[in-house]
Amino acid sequence: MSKKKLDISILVVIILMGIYYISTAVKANEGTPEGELGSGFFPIILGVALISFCLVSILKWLKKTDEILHFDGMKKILLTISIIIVYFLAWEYIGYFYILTFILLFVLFTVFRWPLAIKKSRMITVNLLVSLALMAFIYVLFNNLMYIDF
Amino acid sequence: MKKNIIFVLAALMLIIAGCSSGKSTDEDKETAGSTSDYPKKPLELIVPFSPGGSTDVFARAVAKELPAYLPNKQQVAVINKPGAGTTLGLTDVANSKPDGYTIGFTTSSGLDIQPAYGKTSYKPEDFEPIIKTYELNSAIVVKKDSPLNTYEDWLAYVKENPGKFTYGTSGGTGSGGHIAMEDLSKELGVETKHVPFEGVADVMNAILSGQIEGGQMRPDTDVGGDLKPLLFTTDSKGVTDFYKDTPNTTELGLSARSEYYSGFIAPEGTPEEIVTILHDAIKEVMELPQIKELMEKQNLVVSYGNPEEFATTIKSAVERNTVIMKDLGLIK
Amino acid sequence: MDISVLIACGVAIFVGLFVGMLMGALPGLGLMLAISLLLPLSYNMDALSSILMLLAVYQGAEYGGSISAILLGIPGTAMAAATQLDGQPYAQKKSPGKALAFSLTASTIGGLFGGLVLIFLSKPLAAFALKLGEPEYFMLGVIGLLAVAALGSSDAMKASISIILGLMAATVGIDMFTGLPRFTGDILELSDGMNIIALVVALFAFTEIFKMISGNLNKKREILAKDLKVKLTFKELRGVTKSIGIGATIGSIVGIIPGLGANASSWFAYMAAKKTAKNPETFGKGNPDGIVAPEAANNATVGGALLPLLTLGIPGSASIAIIAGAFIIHGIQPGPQVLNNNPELINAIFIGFMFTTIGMYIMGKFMTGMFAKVLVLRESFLVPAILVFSLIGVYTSQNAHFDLWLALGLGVVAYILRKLDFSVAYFILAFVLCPIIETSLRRMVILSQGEIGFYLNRPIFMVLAIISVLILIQSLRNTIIANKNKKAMKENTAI
Repeated sequence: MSKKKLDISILVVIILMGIYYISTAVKANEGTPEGELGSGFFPIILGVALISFCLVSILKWLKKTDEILHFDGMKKILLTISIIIVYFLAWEYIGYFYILTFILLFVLFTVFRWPLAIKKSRMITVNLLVSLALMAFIYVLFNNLMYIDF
Repeated sequence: MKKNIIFVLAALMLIIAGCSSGKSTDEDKETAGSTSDYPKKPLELIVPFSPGGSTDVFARAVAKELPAYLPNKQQVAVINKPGAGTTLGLTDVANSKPDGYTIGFTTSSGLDIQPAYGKTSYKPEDFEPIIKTYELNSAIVVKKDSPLNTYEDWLAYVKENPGKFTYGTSGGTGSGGHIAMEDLSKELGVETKHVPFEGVADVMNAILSGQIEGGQMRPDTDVGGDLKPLLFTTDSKGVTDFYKDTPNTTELGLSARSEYYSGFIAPEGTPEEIVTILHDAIKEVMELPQIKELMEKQNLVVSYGNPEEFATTIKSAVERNTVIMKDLGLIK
Repeated sequence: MDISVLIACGVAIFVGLFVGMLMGALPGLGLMLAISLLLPLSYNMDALSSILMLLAVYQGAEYGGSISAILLGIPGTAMAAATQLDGQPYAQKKSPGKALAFSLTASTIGGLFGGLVLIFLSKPLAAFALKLGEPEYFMLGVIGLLAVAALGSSDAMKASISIILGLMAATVGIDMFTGLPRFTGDILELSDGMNIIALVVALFAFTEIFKMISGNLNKKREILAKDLKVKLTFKELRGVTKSIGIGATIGSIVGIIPGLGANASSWFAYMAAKKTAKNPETFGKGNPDGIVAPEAANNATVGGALLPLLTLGIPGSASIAIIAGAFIIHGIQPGPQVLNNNPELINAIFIGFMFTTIGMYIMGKFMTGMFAKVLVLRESFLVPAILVFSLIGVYTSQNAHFDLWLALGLGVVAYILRKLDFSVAYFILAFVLCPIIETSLRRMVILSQGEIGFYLNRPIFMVLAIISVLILIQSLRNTIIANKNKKAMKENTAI
């Protein structure tokens, strides 16, 4: 991916965020008592500084040459993120933290270790055992020692 | 390879099936059970503060003793859910199942001040009060070596120097301390300047370093500290009679008065029998010598109230605060 | 003293250190969780051993946070974020064992220094701390930010944007001056501001996890696996004495000032060490001075932070407030009266405090190797484990699912921003300093009531103001010189 394109688009997004931030800050500043700095005073300074820094950063690309940015292993990262999202949703709406976390560990171990050149049934047994051991540790630590309720 | 995937999937299905069946039996029990054999499983006590504060310490002490006085000797787990000035934790209590297995312990501001701002998803009526436990005292305090020694000194000073008396509160603008002080200033026709802080420690530091002249908080000269009271805005003056010569607003015939109380609450709709069971058990725990000692050490003034009395306390506090807050322009 | 008391204290210190180091070393968990783990236990202990246990946790966690910062590049705590800057490169390029040894030795010396300050300088320093008011806090915060600018980075603009974004993130939440929420988008969970643990996990743990996933997860981390011996030669130690001294001094002072925040102390120390170093350009690339300064500082802060509690009754940080709770549970009101009413207890705490530090060194020697072995496992096992611990840490800090989503979302964004040369470390630093700067500024304006004399009458404020102007001038000069050099180099290459 072109670093220049990605960088400029991110900076533009940040500038837009900055504009929204300033507009919220201006509203927050209404009705400030005399002799005090309002809710929006400091944020407005920040917003203006942010936008100017971003503009300078964009302008700097005029002089710099573009680079290629490598995003390796994006598939694996996106897959992990999706697994985490499913895990979060299940945890929030179904519960059963310990069982879910056990499944999460097992699934991630299996996904990450899949390319290994070992027998799959052996790998899965190892993954199951490691997840179980780790969960036992987590269970004892948080449930029995800390009384944390998930 | 395919075989293995199937194996994995099968294993997962089994596990999932295992949990879902576990869940249904749990629910079956809950719906089928009547209140007569309550409680059948451990209780959760939501404390809307971080661990270690005085509210949490008290809640944990009660939670530790409570099982012995509950039917079936069920355990009580304390869950700290701090944030948004206790309203995050209280939202959880309000939204939990009214089955007596989730209750909360809270201070007054989340019940009688925060909902008035209209930012909370619950109303004060969304709770069943179980028992009122204690009150806190609060006063206009100044540094020990301040030239102001009595309420009269202070009144003369603020009348002569309008806007010069700066006072800090630990909860910031719109907190109980701020409302109490502005209400008093209004009644007396004087002008004082509020400086908001976050936490008692910061206000204390600012008073001791002379940055602000006073505060609206608990005095501590009774335990060897440096903050002396000039006028209590609460009826209570503390666990001992150390401050019996310092007036409170009620004694002076002023109508400005604040109340900071704590108590146990359950979500609205919790059966009356369950509330009674909890009330009776907590009441017995409150009588224990170790709890009494803890309260004395922490300067928590015992102030018992049964469910009806507690409900009345909350209701009148809500009414009083709403009027004051409207007067002060904090709400419309 | 009774022998059974000694044994009880010894066990308490041991347990405290163990839990503290463990929690500190696991990313996302950390000091507050370690303290909440042991707090219920302390109810059933006597005053002395429970207080010593909590202090040991504090010390242990301050050191433990650096273990994962050095070995994984994931600071276990916000305080260890500064250690990561040089610790990780040093471990990768030279020796992880030595990097940990620098950290452990500096932590121990810093802890002892903080303890000595606590014992011998309590009263005068407490009196000094009371002289600092809002204007001085404000100036300290500003100096902190300006010093970052002076730190320099590969892309000054991106660093500045990171700082501003960190400051902006810290303005989210209820503004206590108005009692109204700002920038929360009506999300109740944001009304207390963004959860710092969620932020640290997002910016450091998630980005590092994504980085590891993008590579080959199944290679063995052989470079790290060798050379895990936590040992330092005398010569190596002598080389960093100055930076340890700087770190310990700054750490104790920052600890003494209530509300300045322990998180800030390691950053101040890092910046000071870089400023005074002969070869500042090697900072960030594995300079041992960059490891020892923040580590000495964050352990010195522990002793320093106890000082306002014992002399004034003011807990300087959230963790010290919990320790204050332990005093109260045992019927002791922390404050000036403790020194008079319970001198034996206070003396015993002082002595015990020194022992927690020495104990930390001994346990660190043994345990670091153990932790380190776990942390250099194959990444395919390591990544899911780190992920789960980080998530548990985020969730348990406030029991809120919202924080999990926040951490994940910010983690993804931070991963991309890191690729584009934004600095997550500066973001966190700015986030930590913002409350000091903004609230102090606003309180200062209220208190001054518009009179210039209010500021002119504050000598410390004036001195700090002059220092900040000097830093500003110097960093501007540095930028101009750097630009000139760049131009000259370009011309040279053109020729």
